[in-house]
Amino acid sequence: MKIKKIILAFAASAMLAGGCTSLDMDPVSDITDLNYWKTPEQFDSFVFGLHSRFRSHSWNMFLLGEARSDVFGGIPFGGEATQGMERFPYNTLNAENPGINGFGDLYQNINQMNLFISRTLHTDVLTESARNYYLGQVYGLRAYYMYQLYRSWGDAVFTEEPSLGFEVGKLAKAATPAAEIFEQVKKDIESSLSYFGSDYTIKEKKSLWSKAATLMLKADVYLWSAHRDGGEGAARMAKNALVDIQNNTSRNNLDLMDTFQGVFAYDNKGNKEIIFTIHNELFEYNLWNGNNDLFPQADYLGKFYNADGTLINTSVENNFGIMRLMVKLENFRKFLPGDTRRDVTLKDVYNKVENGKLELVGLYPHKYWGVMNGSTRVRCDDYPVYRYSDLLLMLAEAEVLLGEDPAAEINQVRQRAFGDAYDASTVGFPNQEVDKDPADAVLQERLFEFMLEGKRWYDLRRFGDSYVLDYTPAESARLLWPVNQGALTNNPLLKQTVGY
Amino acid sequence: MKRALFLIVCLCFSINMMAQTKTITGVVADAAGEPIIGASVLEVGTTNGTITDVDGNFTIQASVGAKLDVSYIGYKTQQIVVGAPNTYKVILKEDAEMLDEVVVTGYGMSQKRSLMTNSISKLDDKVLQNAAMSNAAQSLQGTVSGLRVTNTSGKPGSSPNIVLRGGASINKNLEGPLVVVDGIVRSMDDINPSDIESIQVLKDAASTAIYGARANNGVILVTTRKGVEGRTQITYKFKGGINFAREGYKYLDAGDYLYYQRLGWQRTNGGSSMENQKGFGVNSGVDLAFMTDTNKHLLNEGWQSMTDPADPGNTLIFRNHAGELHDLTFRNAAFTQDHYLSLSGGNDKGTFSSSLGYYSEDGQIISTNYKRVNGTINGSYKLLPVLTVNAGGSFSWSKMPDLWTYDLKSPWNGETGEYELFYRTMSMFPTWNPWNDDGSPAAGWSNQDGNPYYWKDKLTRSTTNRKTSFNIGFALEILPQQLFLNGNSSMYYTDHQFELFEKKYQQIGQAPNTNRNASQTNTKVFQQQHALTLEYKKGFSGHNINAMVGGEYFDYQYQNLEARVSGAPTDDIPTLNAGTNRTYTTSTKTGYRILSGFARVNYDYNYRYMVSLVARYDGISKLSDNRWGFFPGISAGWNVHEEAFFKDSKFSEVVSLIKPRISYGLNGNVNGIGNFDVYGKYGSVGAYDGNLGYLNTGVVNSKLRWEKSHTFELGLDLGFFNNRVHMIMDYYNRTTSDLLTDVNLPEYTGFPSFKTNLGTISNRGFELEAKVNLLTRKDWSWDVTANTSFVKNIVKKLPFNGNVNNRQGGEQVWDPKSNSLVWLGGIQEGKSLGDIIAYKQVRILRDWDDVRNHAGDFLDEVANLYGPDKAAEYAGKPGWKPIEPGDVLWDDKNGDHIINSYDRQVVGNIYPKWTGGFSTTLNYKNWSLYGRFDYAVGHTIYNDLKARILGQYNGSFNLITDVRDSWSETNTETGIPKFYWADQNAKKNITRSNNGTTNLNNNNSSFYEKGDYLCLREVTLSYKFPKDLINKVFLTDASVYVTGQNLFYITGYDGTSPEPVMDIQANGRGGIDNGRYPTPRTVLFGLQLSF
Repeated sequence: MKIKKIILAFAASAMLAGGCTSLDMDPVSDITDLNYWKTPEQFDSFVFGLHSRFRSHSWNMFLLGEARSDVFGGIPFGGEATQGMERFPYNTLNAENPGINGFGDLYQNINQMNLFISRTLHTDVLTESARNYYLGQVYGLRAYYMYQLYRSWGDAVFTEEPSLGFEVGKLAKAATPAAEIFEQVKKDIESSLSYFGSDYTIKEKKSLWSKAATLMLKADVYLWSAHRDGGEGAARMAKNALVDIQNNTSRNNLDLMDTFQGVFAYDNKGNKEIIFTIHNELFEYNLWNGNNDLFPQADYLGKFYNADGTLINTSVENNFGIMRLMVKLENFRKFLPGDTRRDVTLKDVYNKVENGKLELVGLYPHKYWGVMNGSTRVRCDDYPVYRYSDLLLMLAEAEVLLGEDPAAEINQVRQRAFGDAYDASTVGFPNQEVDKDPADAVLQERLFEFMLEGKRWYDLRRFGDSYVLDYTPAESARLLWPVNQGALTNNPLLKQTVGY
Repeated sequence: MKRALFLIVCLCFSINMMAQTKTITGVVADAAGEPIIGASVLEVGTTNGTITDVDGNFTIQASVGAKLDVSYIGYKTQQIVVGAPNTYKVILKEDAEMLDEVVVTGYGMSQKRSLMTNSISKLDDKVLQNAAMSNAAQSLQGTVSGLRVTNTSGKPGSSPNIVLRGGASINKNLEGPLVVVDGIVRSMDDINPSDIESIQVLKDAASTAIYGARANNGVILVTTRKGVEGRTQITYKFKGGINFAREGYKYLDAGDYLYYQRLGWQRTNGGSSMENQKGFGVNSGVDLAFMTDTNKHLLNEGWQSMTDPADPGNTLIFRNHAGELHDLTFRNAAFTQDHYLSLSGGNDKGTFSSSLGYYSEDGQIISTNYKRVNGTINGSYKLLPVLTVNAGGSFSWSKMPDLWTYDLKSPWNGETGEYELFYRTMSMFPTWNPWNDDGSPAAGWSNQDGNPYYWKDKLTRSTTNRKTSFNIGFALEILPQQLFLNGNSSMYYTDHQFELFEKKYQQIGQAPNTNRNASQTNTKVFQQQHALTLEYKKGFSGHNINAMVGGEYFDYQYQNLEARVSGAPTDDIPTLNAGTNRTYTTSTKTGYRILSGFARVNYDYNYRYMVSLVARYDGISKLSDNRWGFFPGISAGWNVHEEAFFKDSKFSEVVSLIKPRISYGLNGNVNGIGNFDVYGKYGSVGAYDGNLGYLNTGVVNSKLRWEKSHTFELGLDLGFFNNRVHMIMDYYNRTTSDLLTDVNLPEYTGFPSFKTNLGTISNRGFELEAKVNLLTRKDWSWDVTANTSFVKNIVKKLPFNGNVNNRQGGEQVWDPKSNSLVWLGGIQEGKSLGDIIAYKQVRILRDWDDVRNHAGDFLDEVANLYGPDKAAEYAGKPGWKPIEPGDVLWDDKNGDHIINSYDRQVVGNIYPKWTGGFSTTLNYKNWSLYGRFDYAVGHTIYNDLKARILGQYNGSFNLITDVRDSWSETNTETGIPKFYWADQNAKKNITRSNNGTTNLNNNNSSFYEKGDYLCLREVTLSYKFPKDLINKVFLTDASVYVTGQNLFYITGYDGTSPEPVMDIQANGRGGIDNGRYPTPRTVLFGLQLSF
């Protein structure tokens, strides 16, 4: 085309006037695909990126793990609009109100893990040991993520292929049956363990995934199997995984903290009780991405009373939010006298009724107490995923399943919880009322220990569906979560969860 | 005039011509006899010339037989032949015919309207003359056909939203036209309207193709004032005015507020905890208590009492503060001033112009303000007879304090909180005293729920913009009058600065906040453009050719630096040096380049047949595999009225102009692509325990290409009665294919969406511009202009995704016609965009009989409500409530007696169908009355503010007076449901499935209102002082005027502004009115003096 040539000649002359001849520009503030995966530092940064994104999913994971359980269900005492959050504890989720959309965004990290694994398997940039440690971490993380999908939606799409480009029209993909997802979780766990080999180090104030974390996950997964299939083998696998951690880590690095409160202290992150935690930090990241649905409004709180009848001082009780989901009042009353976990976990709020009598009206978390930034309290405590008491109680759970005596583990936890008030003859196993059924004892101990750590719903589910139906208003056909309409539109081969 | 000519002719013939120079004097005047100052008198073929003085007199040496051209801008040039007399009187006729309007077509070229084959609209310059505008783009509202201009905010300095022909996009914010100011690509923000000579809008693809890959959404060409040869002028303009606030809703006084709130709380929650409720509980720190003997005396101090509606045994005592915050917040009478000084002049060697402007406008809301300083300088000089150079520069500085209503928890999110002022602050409970005992303003509960007088001083935010442009160019005449080489280089530099500082403050019930956050963001953009063009003009035996070929290089560099600190020990230093914690620092750099070549050929034969060809070839760094695009355009026209057969026909007596036009062209757009998107990105996802994490934030997408618009257009220019009626009509069909469309991805891919070139959208529309001279008498004239545009968008093609119509998003509802479930809304092939889907309110259930008869066995799955027949099964179940009188009877579309999402229906569309405006100018002697109106018809607005208030989503805020008409046992025939505290927690009669959050779809249908409006945008009465009067004080021009702006809207819409809400994606709030800063009513006084 002649005209094009003439035009181009002019374009070229203008270009010369501009003093530059190239349309190939390199980005300054981003790295392109061409330049990534070239140095060990890039692999390292990617692993931090995976954990950083894990952290951004922590609120969704909290909701998946606890919101539908019997922990919640109180009417928020702030009188706030609950904006549909009441559907979690009421278990009135349906296709129109799925509570969580887009599978909690979990795939946005799974895909990154797939990419990391595919690149790391074929790189020669890394040393053998670094490469194996990374793969151990990322297979473990992927197993953890897939386990969430398995427990929440059952069937789920699974692929090991990272998204490197998209061909529109060929993107629909059917879900893999739940049983296969579960097998995949187990497979990833084994891959993780074999890559870790004998490396039990836990890095970065225990805020990075480690072999111990994979073993904790393994115990959880096999306990799930054991409760369902009644298999002694599975319970044994779980127990072995936990004992493996105990045997290969020093009690100096991994043990119960002396006090329950100490576990969550802002200035003692990565303490000896932690196995794996989500790292939060002032000016870096707030707990649950700053979500404040569990906390009361400042001015409102100031009109209520402490247990001793004094007006609440909001410059002391300065952890505020807009409460949309409240812990059930009876959960506060369930703790036995002397159990330090009650006041570490919850703050009780009272209203004064006739004759100055106090009436318990509100509860909000005290577990994540945060730190002051100037005059404002900021919730930026770590969010523990696995800690040593979880190890002990899962060990107890495995022992119960194996018909062994769980007393040692349970009592270790109780002893720390009651501290000086511990009296083995009254609160020690098997002397509490609940201890008649050791499974109930473990389950209740886990409620007290892990309330607000995103575990209760999953615990009930692990112990068995009958536990879920006993403790919550959930319907048996709706123990999994519904899929939002948008997700079904985006992937026409996807089907609504059975029961919705 | 005739007499003068006669004189000349007579003299020419009666006296022998002698080739000898003599002194000629003369006077030049206009048709009214007013002398013309600065008219140029030039002997043809020589450089001998002069200009007229203040009395219109001139003196020149010329020989008998010499021809003198007498010219003045805006008048037709007259030629006189020097004869025997030594004095001449020349009357110049005004050259105001629209036909000879000169239209700029880009890259230094222009064309007469009569020869034009394209669709280019020119802004009536009256629009810019009188009104005070903080943003020059406001002038385009309702004045140019094909442009939909909507005010997004009445805050001074805000830029309106501009969309050409309905926009070419499926799922992103509609982009505005490319704005080119004197050849520089930039925005219209911060340009002084007084500096503007003309604004034109290139609409059809055959004209915009010269701007190629960026012209998809049209091109706005702005030309600023330049010096004119032979005319020296000093002009001073002043405008001063007052802005009056536009009233919003009326709110309840404290007594009514307490009545509804306490009753509403009881209805929703029973009696518990009521007294701790903000605003209407006696323990909530407001002027409210149960009456006792000890506080009874307050009744003598302005307090009032009432029976507690929740418990008739109690008496409440309270003080009414209704309206106090409203009066504090609105500055009813805010001032605007605009000063403008310009100097210009020139001779045969060069021209010069410069200007200085200062503009200041106070907003209706206290502390909002816009200040702007502009300076320009332009000059050209003839270095050699064949070489002219020109250079110019402009500078602007503007500053806007931002509102204090940002979210305090995340003050970094930019300007999100404007609407909160109009929702939250305006509806603060009337039981609260916004003043402390010592007379100082009270903080209240937050920056949004408190006294603005407190917060505006505590939370300071401001935006400053500096924009500088510089250009230098040359014009070389290679062949006289035929071949020209032009070069132009420009540099454009903008500096945007955002500063924030939060002083110590204390909210009710909290410890003082001494964080003292401070932040500063600086964004710099440096842009250079270099263009070279070769132009050729030739006319021979009726053929006229004008051709141009050129090239351009465009380079854009962006950098941004942001830092935040906290912990300054005092309020004294707002800058970052005082902070003790460095909490956040970031900087980014990015940029792109475009390389282009272009050409244009205009041809006509005897002014009858016209053809124009345009082409551009663009390459851009943002793309990789498909980097280059070719954009051609062709157009043709036929001046039928110039044909002999037409002139001879009877039609010509009535029809004076008839010109059919046809055009076809191709444009591009690449704005939807990030600078480095195609390469696949690895970007930061934040630090983790102090270690920066990277992830793959974008996948490789190298196949992306320009999106392309094909436009086919038919036009017709018509003139009647000697062009006293002049009309321009256009029909267009624009198909934009390869649309840069975000495809929602299945979740498993790990990315929410992906950009593709896989959509096609078609816009068809009709535009009409008309100018009518209704009356011309000796002292009278009356002109009317009007324009209107109609547009319809249809999605033609979408990326295949396996859904019916390849639908993305949308809502599944029951279709009674087909007796099946169908998908509405979202984006679907064959459907238009912008439909709103909601639950249809049939009426309010009057009484129990009505409930039993019409909703007896209803199950409302949206709100978890059950009809009386279902009570046995549902009563007492957690989360379930009964349907009662006063609740809404919903349209059960599918008749299954279950109200769920399938029962929704389309209740409107967010886009207007028709937009336009009209103006009228009535002149009587030296008086002129000008009026300008604009309108938009066909759009629906979701009145979220009203829904939010009547639904009491917040819990404590005051209610608008409409609540008095809500259902009660004694008011059963009404459209407003029974009032409950927090509708989203009660019956969801209003919010439905949104649970009180702000969303376009899925609310009660009765809160969707037609936004049709007609606005009186401007009315001006001006007076021009007679020349003989002002000449005595050495003035050449003097006029005064009074202007009213935005005086009223005629509309059925209930909120403050019926203008469509067009920020489709900014907050996902397209079509939603959740509180808007209304445009003020303004009254201006203006003065213009020229020396």
